[in-house]
Amino acid sequence: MSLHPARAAFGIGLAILVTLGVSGISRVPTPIHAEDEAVLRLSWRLTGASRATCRPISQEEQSELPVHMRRLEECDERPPEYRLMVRLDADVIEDRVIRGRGARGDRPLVVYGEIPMRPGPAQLEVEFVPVVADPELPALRFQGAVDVRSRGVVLITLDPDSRTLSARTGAGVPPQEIPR
Amino acid sequence: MGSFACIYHDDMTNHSPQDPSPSFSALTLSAGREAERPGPFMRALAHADRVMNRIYGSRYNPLYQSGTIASFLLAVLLITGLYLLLFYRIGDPHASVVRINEQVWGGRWIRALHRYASAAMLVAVGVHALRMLLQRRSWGPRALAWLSGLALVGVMLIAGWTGYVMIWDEHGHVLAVQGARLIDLFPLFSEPVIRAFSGSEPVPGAFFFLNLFLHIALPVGMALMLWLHVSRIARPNLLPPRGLWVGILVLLTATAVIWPLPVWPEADLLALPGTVPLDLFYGWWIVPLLSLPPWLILVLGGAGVLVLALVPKIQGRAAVAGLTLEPSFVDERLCTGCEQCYVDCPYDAIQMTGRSDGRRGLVALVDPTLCVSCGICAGSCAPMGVGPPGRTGRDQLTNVRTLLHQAPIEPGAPVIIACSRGVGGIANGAAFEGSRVISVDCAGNLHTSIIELLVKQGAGGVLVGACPPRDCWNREGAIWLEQRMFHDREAELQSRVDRRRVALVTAGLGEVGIVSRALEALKRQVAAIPPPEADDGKLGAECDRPQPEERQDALPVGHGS
Repeated sequence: MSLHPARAAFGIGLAILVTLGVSGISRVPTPIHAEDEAVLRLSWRLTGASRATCRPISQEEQSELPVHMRRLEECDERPPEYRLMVRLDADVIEDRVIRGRGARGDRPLVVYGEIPMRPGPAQLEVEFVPVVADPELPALRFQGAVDVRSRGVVLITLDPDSRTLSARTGAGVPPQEIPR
Repeated sequence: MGSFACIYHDDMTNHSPQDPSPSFSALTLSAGREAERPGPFMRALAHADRVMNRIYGSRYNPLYQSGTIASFLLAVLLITGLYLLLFYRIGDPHASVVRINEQVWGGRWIRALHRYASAAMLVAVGVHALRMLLQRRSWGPRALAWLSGLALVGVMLIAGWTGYVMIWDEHGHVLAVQGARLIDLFPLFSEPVIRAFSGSEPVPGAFFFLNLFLHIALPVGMALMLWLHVSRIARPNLLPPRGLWVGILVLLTATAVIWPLPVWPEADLLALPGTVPLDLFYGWWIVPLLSLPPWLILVLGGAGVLVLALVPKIQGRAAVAGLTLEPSFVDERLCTGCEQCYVDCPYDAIQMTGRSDGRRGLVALVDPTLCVSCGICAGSCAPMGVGPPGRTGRDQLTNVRTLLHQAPIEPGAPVIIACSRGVGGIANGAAFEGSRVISVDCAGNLHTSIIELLVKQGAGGVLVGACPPRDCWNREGAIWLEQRMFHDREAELQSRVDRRRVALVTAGLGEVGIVSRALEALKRQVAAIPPPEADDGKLGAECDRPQPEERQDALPVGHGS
């Protein structure tokens, strides 16, 4: 096919435009979070709080089991229910019961959640206590003032050494131009 | 070379095993089918094709070549990815990407080329899938290609996701967190995956290792799936013409050099990302996820995938309801074992096997599970012994003779035989610029004896219109037809047919001007030669059917091959 110079130029120009378009769409500046957003993030995993409920296995039951599976007692070990309550400036913003994870609920207690908040100083109170009070079970509490910047994150997490809740605050990202 | 079509008079009709009783329209050689009128989406696609054909020519039309462009870009991704892999470190992902950008030779350009090629590949795949969808080329034996293509797109999106996460910049952070929100909807893990990005602890190195593993394994898996994707077609094209792939590579490389990728700030897990340079090809799902609950996105996405997966079923049902699309069959009495249909079949649906009639040699056997009823074999069989019911060479001859009986050809007037799907759409009409139009399902189905018959019946010339080779719905119809007409491919147009009276034109839907110009050129050419002699309509190749015992000599195995 003979190529007319004008058509060839148009074809090349179109190809360049499409390439630039495709390249541009692969890096479109997209706002994900606004400047007036911030987040309270709760994230921890509580282990060692499980309670075992055991019952003896009778001789009859033992005899029905293969030799290698015979035990004196059968235990069902699962963590107790905990109550999570979050207060921000005295307002309750979260109040729910946390159960052990897994299909049978026998996995450790895991807390993860993000609660939107406004940037700035705030009084925060987090409580994670057993639903049925038990002095042998750990009760986790955090109470304090936090000051979160624009697009900042206040992370409440469990300090593995002290087994207490602590807060970490991100620096936040000041508004900036995205380099293109 | 040098065989001739031997047509047996006594079984010209009613020889199809399923007796389709075609209710063909007056001007179509198709069995029970009218020329389809394209819908609005098909017309829009045809318009885009037309524009691209005008600019780049049909051979280099990127819309026609979208599938091969995608596989070429996959190769570009694998090569550039291997280079980048040499310098990537999972222990410090972001810092290693900074090093690639600033210290590695060509690093920032190759990184940009890798990114742009991945985006272009997704565009090419989208165009390719859209073409197959609109052209209804997804059902029957083609369903495997459709479904494997769908799986390829899914794997491609996941591979792209892992690629962005491994940079571990703000963009990667957003993709990781939002992806984890979706994954956590499935009860797969004892802990939410998203906790890995909570900021309470550094992101584990195992995560980046797994991510890198997936980013390597998935594209390699894609190459294997590509094999599955094309496994049911013969002679698959995996590369576009050289001019096109060189042009694409030059353009992408130039863009990468002129507009390289910066390294955006490292992911900060204790800060919310503000504005990120989102890749809308691979991260389009982020946008609705920011305002809608993840389960809704998952439900909508799942529904979309389900609908796409059901396309072969839906299109197959629609096609079977309105059309007669039985697989081809072989008449063993006529099959000479020449193997031409076996060679020409674009879907590897024909095998050669031992004969059951006591004659020496092999006979063609159609695998109905692989046959898409394209009818290419009907055009490739000199003795007209194979083809879909109602569309074999013999059926075509019967139909065209009936046509001529109903309305004899005006002596000296050219006749157009046109593919019903393309050729400017002229096959939808009974006439085009005063010339009679006879439509066929695919020009590649056309048996050359039809051309000979029309010329002998007094047609001033025969213009055969086919789709552009790269857009043939049956893959190779236009290519084989051209070789049969002008290059003596088996089932060739006989040498006694004056080639000055015959022309082949390829044109897409709506390219009426091309057909018009070809018709004018044929008319001028025919005007310069003496008028054809009147004929009794008998083809020179026709002969009486030999007795079974004579056939072995009359039609030796492999004749004309």
